[in-house]
Amino acid sequence: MHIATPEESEELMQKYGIPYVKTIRAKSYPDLLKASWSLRKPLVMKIISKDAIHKTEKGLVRLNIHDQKELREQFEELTLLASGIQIDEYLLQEQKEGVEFIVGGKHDPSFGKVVVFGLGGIFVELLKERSLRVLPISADDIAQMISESKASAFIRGYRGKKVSLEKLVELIYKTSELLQNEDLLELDFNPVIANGEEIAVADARMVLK
Amino acid sequence: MDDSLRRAMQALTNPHSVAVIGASDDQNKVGFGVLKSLLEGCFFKSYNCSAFAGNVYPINPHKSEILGRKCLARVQDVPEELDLAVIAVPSIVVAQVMRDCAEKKVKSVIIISAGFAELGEEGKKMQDEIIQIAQSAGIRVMGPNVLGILRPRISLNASFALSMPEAGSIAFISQSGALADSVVDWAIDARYSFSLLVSLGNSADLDVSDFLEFCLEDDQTKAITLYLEGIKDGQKFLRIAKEVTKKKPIILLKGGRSSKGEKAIASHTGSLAGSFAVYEAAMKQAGVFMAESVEDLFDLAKALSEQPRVDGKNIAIITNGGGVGVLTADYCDMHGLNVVELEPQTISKLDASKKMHPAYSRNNPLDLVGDALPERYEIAINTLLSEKYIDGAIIIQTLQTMTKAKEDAEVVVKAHKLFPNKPVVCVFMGGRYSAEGISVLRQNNIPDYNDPLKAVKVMKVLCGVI
Repeated sequence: MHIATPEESEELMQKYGIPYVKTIRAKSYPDLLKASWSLRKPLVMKIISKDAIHKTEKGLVRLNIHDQKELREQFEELTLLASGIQIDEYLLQEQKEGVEFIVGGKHDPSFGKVVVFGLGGIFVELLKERSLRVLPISADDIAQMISESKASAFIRGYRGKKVSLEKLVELIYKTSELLQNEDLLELDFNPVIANGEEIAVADARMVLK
Repeated sequence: MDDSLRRAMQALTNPHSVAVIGASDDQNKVGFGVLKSLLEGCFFKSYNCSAFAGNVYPINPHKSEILGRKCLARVQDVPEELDLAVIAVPSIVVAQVMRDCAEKKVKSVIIISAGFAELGEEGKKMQDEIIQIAQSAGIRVMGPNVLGILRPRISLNASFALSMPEAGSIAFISQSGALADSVVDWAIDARYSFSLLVSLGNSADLDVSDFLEFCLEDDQTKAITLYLEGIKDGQKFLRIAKEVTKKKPIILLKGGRSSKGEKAIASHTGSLAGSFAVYEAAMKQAGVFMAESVEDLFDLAKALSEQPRVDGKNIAIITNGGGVGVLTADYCDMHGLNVVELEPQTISKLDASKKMHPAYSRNNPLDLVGDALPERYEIAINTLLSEKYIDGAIIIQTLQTMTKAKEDAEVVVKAHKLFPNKPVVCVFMGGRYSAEGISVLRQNNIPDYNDPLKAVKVMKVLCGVI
């Protein structure tokens, strides 16, 4: 069992056509700076460390980076903050606005592969707002599954936020194909950020057999 | 169900000849209880006991006679084809006994003996060896470590259960033998009635899915109840349960809900999808209803075996007391049933009868007011059930001085005959002075509960809301 590296995760998402937020990884500040030129601002910076699963709790996720000055500041702060743990690499992403969902999967000892959908973000475990299904499932099952979750309010539109049901179903369907065909123990896409017709995985975490 | 399974199930559930291997004259031994149950139908007498009509052979090399029956030394000595062998010998000799059964070409075997996989590695090895012997002889095995099987309709009691419940249309498949045994005892007074009772024990060969397949084809069974703690082959269960629930309802009581000992590896999903959450999802996919308690399990099953199911959830509540009507409406709302608004034409029909109280509610819940007599109930129930947009009715009777419980119940029974495709559930609240009415409902298979919450939960499954 091992936790997939960002490269492995990206490769699997690509293979199954799962959209993910444009992300660049680097080990040093000059490389980060160079990478930032090709990304649309504002940016998110994260530290990847095998010692830290919950990045947000540890302050290892920084938002709203608009320019070189802010990039430098956040880089220094993050590096200092992470001085006690091993920094594998820095990660730079385009910052997406939208509704945060979680799409996940796991292997249940009795029923086999399971897919999970719910409200995402940092309150996932507090709210436990989710619905799940044992695989295999059809697109109709997925639509049904979404409608059971409170997160479905965003399909109809809630507080000015609206997401496309079709895109969401498609992403969950592709995730279920990935789960069916690959040997994963657990998978988290959290958050998946959706906004209108746009949808993308912003953070992926996979536990491989 | 494949042919070999069908043949084995036939031999197990409707045998013409049964041997008890390990029959004993010691009243404290299981081998005595099983033999007595087979010969007399019950260990402890109940109103439902009668002797099994098939041939019963006690097997014990050290005795010449038990309970007035001649003992045979070995199962091979049985002078006819043997449908079923019930094994109740110490675990270490079960393998030898199974070899005898293989030689005799027994059609099915129940291993009551405990001391196998449930004890650990050593026991698992012995169990595997026994199943190996059985399989190479084409024998299907129930157990080991089981209570046995009860088939009330034919007075087959190949178990050490303490008595025999009434014959009916509910099958009960339990992973716990002790629970099944207590249910038998309880059922005798509570008048739950069964088509089949089995305990699954270690399910070394025949498992819950095999019994589900049998129940699907079994004419006696209308509803299936399960008590399970774990399922080994969840995918097989899902596949078969999906087929079964198209024709017959399955209700599951799941033991072991707490997530103690469960450990997520490193993800949010792991903690969101604990094993009970996965169970709930799987059961929803398979169309299986989940019960919350033992009583719930059999209340739901009884109603499902007696009342029609509908595809719709518009419920009418008819009551002679405001408060209970309000509570019932609340519970309907909580459980996904729709307390449908009455259409103007329905109100007109009720008004036109000229029998309604001037202050009747003119809406759903339909409050007939406390002084409602049977006639008012009759008009209300028949008017509402005749409406296409109403799928079923919950009928409440609170007790006032003028209330006529027996006649009210008869009105309900009559209405149910007029509208046999719409489920009716009653809440005749009370005790001593409602008893006559409650007994009329019971005799006519109309579910009745003292608590409106129970009535709503039952209506919910009748409406197919999972």
